[in-house]
Amino acid sequence: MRRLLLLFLIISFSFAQDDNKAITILQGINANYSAIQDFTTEIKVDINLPGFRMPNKDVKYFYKAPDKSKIESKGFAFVPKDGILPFAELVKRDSLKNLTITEIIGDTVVITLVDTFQNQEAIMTLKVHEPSATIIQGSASINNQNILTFHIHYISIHGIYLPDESAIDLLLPPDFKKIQMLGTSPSQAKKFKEKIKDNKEWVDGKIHLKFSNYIVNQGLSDEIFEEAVETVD
Amino acid sequence: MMVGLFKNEVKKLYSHWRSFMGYILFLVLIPIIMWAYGKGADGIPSAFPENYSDLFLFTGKLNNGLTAAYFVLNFFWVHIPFLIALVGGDIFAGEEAQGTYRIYLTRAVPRWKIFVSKVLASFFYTFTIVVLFIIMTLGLGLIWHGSGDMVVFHEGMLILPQSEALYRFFLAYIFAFSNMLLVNIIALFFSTMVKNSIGPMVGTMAVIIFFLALTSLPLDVFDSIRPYLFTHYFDNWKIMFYDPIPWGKVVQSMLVISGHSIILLFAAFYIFNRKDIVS
Repeated sequence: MRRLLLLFLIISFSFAQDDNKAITILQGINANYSAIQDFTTEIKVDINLPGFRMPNKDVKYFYKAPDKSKIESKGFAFVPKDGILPFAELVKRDSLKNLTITEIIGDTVVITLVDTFQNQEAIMTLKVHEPSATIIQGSASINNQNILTFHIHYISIHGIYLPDESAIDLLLPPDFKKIQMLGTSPSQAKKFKEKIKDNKEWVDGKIHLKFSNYIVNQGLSDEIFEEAVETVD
Repeated sequence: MMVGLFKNEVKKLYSHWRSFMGYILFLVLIPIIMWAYGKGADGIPSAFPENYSDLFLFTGKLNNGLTAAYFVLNFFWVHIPFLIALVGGDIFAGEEAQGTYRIYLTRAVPRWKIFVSKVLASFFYTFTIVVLFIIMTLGLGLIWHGSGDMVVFHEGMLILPQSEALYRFFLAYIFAFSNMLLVNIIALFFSTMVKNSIGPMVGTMAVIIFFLALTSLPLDVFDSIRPYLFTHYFDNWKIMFYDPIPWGKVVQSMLVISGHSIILLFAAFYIFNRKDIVS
């Protein structure tokens, strides 16, 4: 009985330690984000989504703590939020569900937790480089499907780690294939519909971001963000 | 002498109020379409699943003058031929109906010169219609809705940068102009054959409607004859917005359209030149 109690205590303690370490790591990431009051950067965006063709775009990104961001570009453009400051909102939170360290490989710690993503419960996996307190890889998985995965390389600017390059893999629902029917003739559309009718495979998309010309903590004015960002529904 | 004849034909052409119908239609209808476009067109028509659009930051707008011009062009390419036929159908037959041929053709002016001046006058009309259309679609669109990247629907969504889109419009309008010239020539051809202008107008429209039906009906049985119908190439101005532009298809379309135009033009001249004026 004593042995069992001891074993229970050891297991509970080790889990608690695990939780504490995960929290400490997330706090480290948050500390890195908190050092950013504002920044601007230029991003070269390369979007590769089936049925959606857009030339590579040069975009200027503006961020001001705690949550103001906008992009400017000549013409139409879009960037994935998580490719820039990944899980910035999530690491700020005091309590997170099922926070666990699942793997430690040298300097890299893999943390999983459960959170809401696209209005559904999702398992978030964060691969964190502990010395720099940066998320080098992250994913959101719903029903065992990785909906979003990103890999980020960082550079240090005045001791703050900011992305140098982001690669985002998206998995889009089967319905997304219908976008490829736009602009086809009725007979082509009919054939295409037949073709995809039984195909329930999700669609892969890739987005690559290359960052340059960072200007950090320059004191960005709020006015920059006041102008309504033109969004497309 | 040719310039004088041409001026004379242009003057006669614009002496009919129906010649202004096309201009009036564009001046009235296109601003209404532009206004309505600004009120209700969607940029990315639910291309992204709703949940996913929250993942992105967007900038710029796809509802702009270029997309509006493309939208109007998509709608009008099938209607402009009727306006062209109204004028082209009258250019020879109108003279015969009014009995002015007898005076005109007995002057010491070779028939080929009269033919060329009439053809050039009707080409001039077609050109002005297309130019006004460009001004009212692209010009008005850019003034009203601003510029930006253009969205084209071709096997999905294609975003064309503004500079690229303007170049594509230039090519598309050239293509549209050559199509309209062919319609004009069909009307001229019918016009040389009959004695009143209603026949060529209705005849041209009937031919276009008939061929368009065979071209656009989604029935496989017509697949084999479609490449031989000029209407099959009528909406090929759209391929100028594809990425990359299928130049092979462009050349094929231009050859078919210009081939039809040349043959019908020579046929019209042959009929006109041998015409026995008895009215």
